[in-house]
Amino acid sequence: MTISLKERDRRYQSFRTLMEKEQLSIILAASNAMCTGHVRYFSNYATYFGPTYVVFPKEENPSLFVFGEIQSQLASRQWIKDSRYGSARPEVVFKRIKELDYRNKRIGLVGVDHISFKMYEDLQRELISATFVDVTEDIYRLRMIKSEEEQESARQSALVSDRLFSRIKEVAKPGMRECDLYAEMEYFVRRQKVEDAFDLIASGPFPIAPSMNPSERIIETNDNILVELTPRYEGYYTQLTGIHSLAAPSSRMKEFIDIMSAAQKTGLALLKPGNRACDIAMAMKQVVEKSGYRMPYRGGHSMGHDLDEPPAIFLEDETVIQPGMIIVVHPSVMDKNGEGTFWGDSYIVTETGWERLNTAFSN
Amino acid sequence: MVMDIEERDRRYGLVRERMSTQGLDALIVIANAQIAEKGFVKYLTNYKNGLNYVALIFPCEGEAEFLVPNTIQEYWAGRSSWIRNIKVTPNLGEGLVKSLNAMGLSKARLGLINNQTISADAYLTLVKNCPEASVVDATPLLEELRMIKSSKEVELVKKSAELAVLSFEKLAQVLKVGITEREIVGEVDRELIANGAEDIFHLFSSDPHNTFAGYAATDRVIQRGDIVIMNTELSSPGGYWVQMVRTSFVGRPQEDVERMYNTVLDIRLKILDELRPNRKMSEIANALTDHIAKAGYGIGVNLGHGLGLDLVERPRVDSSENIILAPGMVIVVHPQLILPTGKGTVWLADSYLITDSGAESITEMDPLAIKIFD
Repeated sequence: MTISLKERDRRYQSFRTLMEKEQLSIILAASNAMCTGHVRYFSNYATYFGPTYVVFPKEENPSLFVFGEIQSQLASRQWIKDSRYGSARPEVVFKRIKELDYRNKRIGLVGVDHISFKMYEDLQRELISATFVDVTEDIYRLRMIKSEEEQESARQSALVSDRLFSRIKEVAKPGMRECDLYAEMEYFVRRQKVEDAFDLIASGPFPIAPSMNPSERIIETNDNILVELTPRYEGYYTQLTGIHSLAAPSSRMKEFIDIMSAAQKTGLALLKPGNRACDIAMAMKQVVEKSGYRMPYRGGHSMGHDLDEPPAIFLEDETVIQPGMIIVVHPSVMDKNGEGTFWGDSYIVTETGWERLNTAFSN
Repeated sequence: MVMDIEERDRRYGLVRERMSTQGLDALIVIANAQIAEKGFVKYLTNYKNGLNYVALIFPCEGEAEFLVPNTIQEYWAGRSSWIRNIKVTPNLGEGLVKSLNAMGLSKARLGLINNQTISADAYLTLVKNCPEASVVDATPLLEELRMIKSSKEVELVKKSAELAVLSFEKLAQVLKVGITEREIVGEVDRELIANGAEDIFHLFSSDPHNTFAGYAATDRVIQRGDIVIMNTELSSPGGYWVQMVRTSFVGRPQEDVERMYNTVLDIRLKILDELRPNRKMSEIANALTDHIAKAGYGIGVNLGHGLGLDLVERPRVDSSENIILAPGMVIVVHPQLILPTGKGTVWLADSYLITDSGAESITEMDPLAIKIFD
């Protein structure tokens, strides 16, 4: 299944409404290589390497700027036919903007948190009569609420992480090295219909800091294996952070798991339209702290075209939860010796609460 | 990341010497999470960052400070980096301002590496809140040092090269009619990860009419007549990238394709002749381009580039690159030829170490060993 042209038209209408409201002649969306979401949202193309840009005029067709000739050809098969090699070639981007109505006009900039300072400076210099208006938040607000189609891609992503977690439980054995287990995980992922997956692993009695680069540590009989699985299906990420215990968990590990289970339950009771992200974070933090421990990581975050998008479930984020948000709720617990663990899974916010996307924890 | 402190001290000594000469009080080195652009920070910290921005403030005198975005990275940087002072700063700009003030550098002359990796947001916050600091670009300072690999670095480069060769040994084991591109890459990557590969990036093609290898392996099923091209780019625990490409044929290739393949084999021999210290890179690039043009083929991707802690480094293998080759440089030369009809391509690449007298290929595998699969 692919994101439809109907979805494209829905988004493009939202952009044009924003442009009308803010009197913008052009929107310039910028992504860096890791957070490709803004450019993806405009183009439906999964860019590699970066930086990348979309020039979206109010009246005319948009243009996409990617890394390399190969990608410009691949990208033109998606929504933006005019795709060019413009990554780290600002003159190519400026040339396109100068063909449009930019003089003394307002240009909306999306991605001030990702656009390089050099590009930003070059823009001011080259397009001297234009006024740049930061509309990053406006686009994030659109991206926060996923349409039905987008939600369906998220469901498919969650199915893959559930299957991968089952596979991990099948193959993980004492005597394997972490990298052997990770090799099996990636072998499984490569054969799924996902664009990529960001997977982390850690093993030990109280694994709490999973890593992108597994070590040669030999997995032991009583180990717990912590995995954070984040596959991208048709452009949508969901996340599953799970613990697989090779033997019956120790009483301390059971204690940590019970605390996180209680914290997540408390958080989920507040995951509904009208509450704020910080309310959920605070409630989970209180459960963990009442047990005598601390919560070292954020309580979760939204996902979509980026694996980490606003809103985030932490104390500083006052965003109001709304239907259509896709959020991973992942409390963590750590004692003063740095031992602990964390887990979480993904949800779509509904009108009254949430729809759980992962079945991995139903046992 | 496994580099020792002797190498750290060698680097720090050279960097501080140059900072002194250039009147820089501190370097600000930024990495974002671009998979192949973490090298400047890696070089000075022995740490490969995860997601999001990290920044190193490296003063000419005194202790450096390392800004990371979250507690997980604080944990890993604490375990594996050379830097003792690690600060968790979710907002890069604010974090830089706070640290510069605390380190007494808010009015200093700062060498930024660089204005392409730092976000506009962070830079503007920095200059607004430290208006008396002067910020200049210091990229060449580190770029020049990184181009020449020490013997310890070369050891780690060679470990990556061994893995690249392994990827093609595995390809040779699994390639057959009926397997899909995705399954091939799955098998290759499983082997690579079990043997220590960290970051892996492939381009893959099997359709004989393609003129480029795509950015992801697909569900296409291998059949007779296919031209299978795999590009392997990877880093191993030392953090050094290498690149290697081989072209294989399922069944005997067509005559015109075989002629093109023989030309690229010739070019591969020529490359070893051309790569010598004290030669200007642009001359070598021009010699190779002429050879390809004379033989009547189109050129696909660019001819190559330096390799190191990043995937693409100076010197570039092109006609505008004036850098003079020197022993210790690691370079990939990757000629991709396209048929004049535009309907087919062959691609070969090896990574080379420039020595005192010439160059040695570090990705050793005779292309002919995996040329034909029946």
